[in-house]
Amino acid sequence: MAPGGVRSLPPRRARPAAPAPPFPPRRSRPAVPAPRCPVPPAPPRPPRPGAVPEQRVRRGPRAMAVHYCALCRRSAFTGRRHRYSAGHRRRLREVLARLQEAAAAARAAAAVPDGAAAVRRLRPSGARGPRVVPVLRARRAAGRAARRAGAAARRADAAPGRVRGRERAGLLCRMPGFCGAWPGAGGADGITVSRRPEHRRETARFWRENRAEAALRERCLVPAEEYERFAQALEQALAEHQRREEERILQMAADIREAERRQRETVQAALQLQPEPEVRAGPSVCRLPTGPERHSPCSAEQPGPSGMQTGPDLAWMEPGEVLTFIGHQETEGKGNVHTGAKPPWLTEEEDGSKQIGPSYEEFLKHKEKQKLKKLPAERVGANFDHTSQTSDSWLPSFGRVWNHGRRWQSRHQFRTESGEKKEKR
Amino acid sequence: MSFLLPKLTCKREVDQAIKSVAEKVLVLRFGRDNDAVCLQLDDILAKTAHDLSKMAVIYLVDVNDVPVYTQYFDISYIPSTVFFFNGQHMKVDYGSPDHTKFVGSFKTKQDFIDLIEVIYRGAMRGKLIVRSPIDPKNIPKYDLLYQGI
Repeated sequence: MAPGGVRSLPPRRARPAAPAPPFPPRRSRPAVPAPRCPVPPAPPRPPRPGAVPEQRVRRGPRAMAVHYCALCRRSAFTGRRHRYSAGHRRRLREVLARLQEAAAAARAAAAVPDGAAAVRRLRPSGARGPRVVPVLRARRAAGRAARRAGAAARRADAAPGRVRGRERAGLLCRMPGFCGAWPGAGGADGITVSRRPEHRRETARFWRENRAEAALRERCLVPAEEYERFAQALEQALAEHQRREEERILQMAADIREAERRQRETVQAALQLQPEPEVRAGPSVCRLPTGPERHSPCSAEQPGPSGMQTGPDLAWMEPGEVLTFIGHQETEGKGNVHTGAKPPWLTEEEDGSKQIGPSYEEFLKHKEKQKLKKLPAERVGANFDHTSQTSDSWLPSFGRVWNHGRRWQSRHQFRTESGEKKEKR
Repeated sequence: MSFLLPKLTCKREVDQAIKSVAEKVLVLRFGRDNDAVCLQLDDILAKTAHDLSKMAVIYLVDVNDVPVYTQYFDISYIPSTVFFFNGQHMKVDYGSPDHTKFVGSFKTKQDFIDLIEVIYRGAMRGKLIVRSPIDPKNIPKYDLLYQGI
C-alpha cells in the first residue's frame, strides 16, 4: 500500500465461488495433451448488397466448422476437438485393435511356408467355404481398415453410405481396387493396397491426426516381403492341387477300364462254355429263365433275386429256348437308331438317277387330260368310264346289231353262242 | 407261316416299302425264317394280317439280307419287329429297355392286334411314341447288352 500518490484498487473482498463451469466435469484422460484453445470465429462479414439483414446466419461465440468424423460415423459440430473426445478415442482404439489382429492373422497366414495350409485355404476358396472366410475376411478387414484409416482424413466430407460389416467399419472405401471379388491370390487386395506409397502416406497422416501410437502402425501393416512369399506359396499350392486332381481322375479312369475288361472277359468265358445259342447273362440284373439243364458259370455272380425275377410266367414263351442272339451290331462310327443317326431309307442315293415325279410320257398324258377338261361337260360320253373292265361277252344293250328286232328276242341265240344254254330236253 | 406273308429281300425294297406305304402301319419283322421264335411270330402275323389289312401292312425281312438295317436298328436278338407310319419310325414303350423295336414273339394274336391299334391311333393323333397295351408279363424279357461291356 503505497502512501498517497498511487491509487490502487480497494482491498479485495471475498468473492462468492465462481459459478460451476458449463462443461461436464473433467474426466481423467489417458495421456492426452491439453486441448488447444479453439480459434475464435472470424467476425461476421458485412452483408452483401442484396442480402436481407435478417437472413444472416447466427452463430454463437463458440461455433466451429462442422466436421464429419468417419470413424465415429457422426457429424461433429465441435470441430477438430472431436478427435480428442473420449468416445472417438475409444472407437479408434477398438478399430486399431481389430486391425492389429487382422494384420497379425494375415501375416500368420502368409508366413506359413506352403503346402498344407495353402491348400486347405485353396480348396474351399473355390467354393467359398466357411473355413476360409475368417482368414480372408480378416485380411480383407485389415486391408479395409488400413485403407479406411488412410482415407478417412481425405474423405471427411464424402458420404460413405450405409456400411454393413462386422467390424466397426467407419468407411467403406470406394477405391477402385476394392470390391467383393476375392482374387485368386487370396484376398490380397488389402495387402496390395497397403503397399502403395500414397496409402502409406495416408496411413501416416491418419496416425498423426488421431494421435495413435506409432508402434501400433508397424503392427498393423503387412510387409511386402510376406506378401511375395505368400503369392509364391499360393502358386505352388495351386499347381500341386491341380496335379493331384488329375492323378485322381486318371486313377478313376483306369479303374473303370479295369472293370470293363474284367466284365468282358467274364462274358467271353460264359460264351465259350455255352456252345448252343443262348443269351449271355451279362452283368445286368435282369436274366432270362434258366432251364434246369443250363448251368452258366455266371450264375455265381447273381444269386437269388435274378432267378426269382423270372418266374413261371415266361414258361409260355419258349419252353427251354430263348431268343436267338445274332451278335453285336458294330456300326463302326455310323450311328444307329439309338444315337439318332440318319435312317437308311433316307440316305439312299446310289440307285441311279431316280427321278422324282412322273416320267415324260406320264406328263404328256397328263397334259392331254388337262385339255379334256376344257371341252363342254355335257357332251356325249363325257362321263364315259374308261377304266371299267368289260369281259369279252359284253355288248351294248341294243340287241344283235345287225338283226331286226329287240335284244330280248335274241337272247337265245346269244346263249347258244356263248355255250351256256343247255340243250333243252 | 412265312410263306403267307410278303418278303422284302434287299435294302431298296425295304426303302420302297417304308416310303410308299401310306396311312397304314408298316410292320417289318426282322428275323430268319427257320428260327423257332420267328416261326411263332410269323404264325401270329399271318393269322392277323387279314383282319388288320385296313390298318397295317406286314412284311418279313431276313436279317442277313439287309445288314444296313440290322446295324441301324441295332438288332441283336431275333425276331425284332419295327413299326412305321407314313415313313416315320414309331416308338413304343413296352416296359422293356428298348423302345425302338419289339423283341421276341407275341403271346396271343389279340396282343398284336391291340398293339397295332394303339400304334395306329397314336399315329393318327400325331404321337411318335405310344405306350403298349400289352401286359408286361407277356412281353419277352431279354438282356440289353450295351456295346463295350
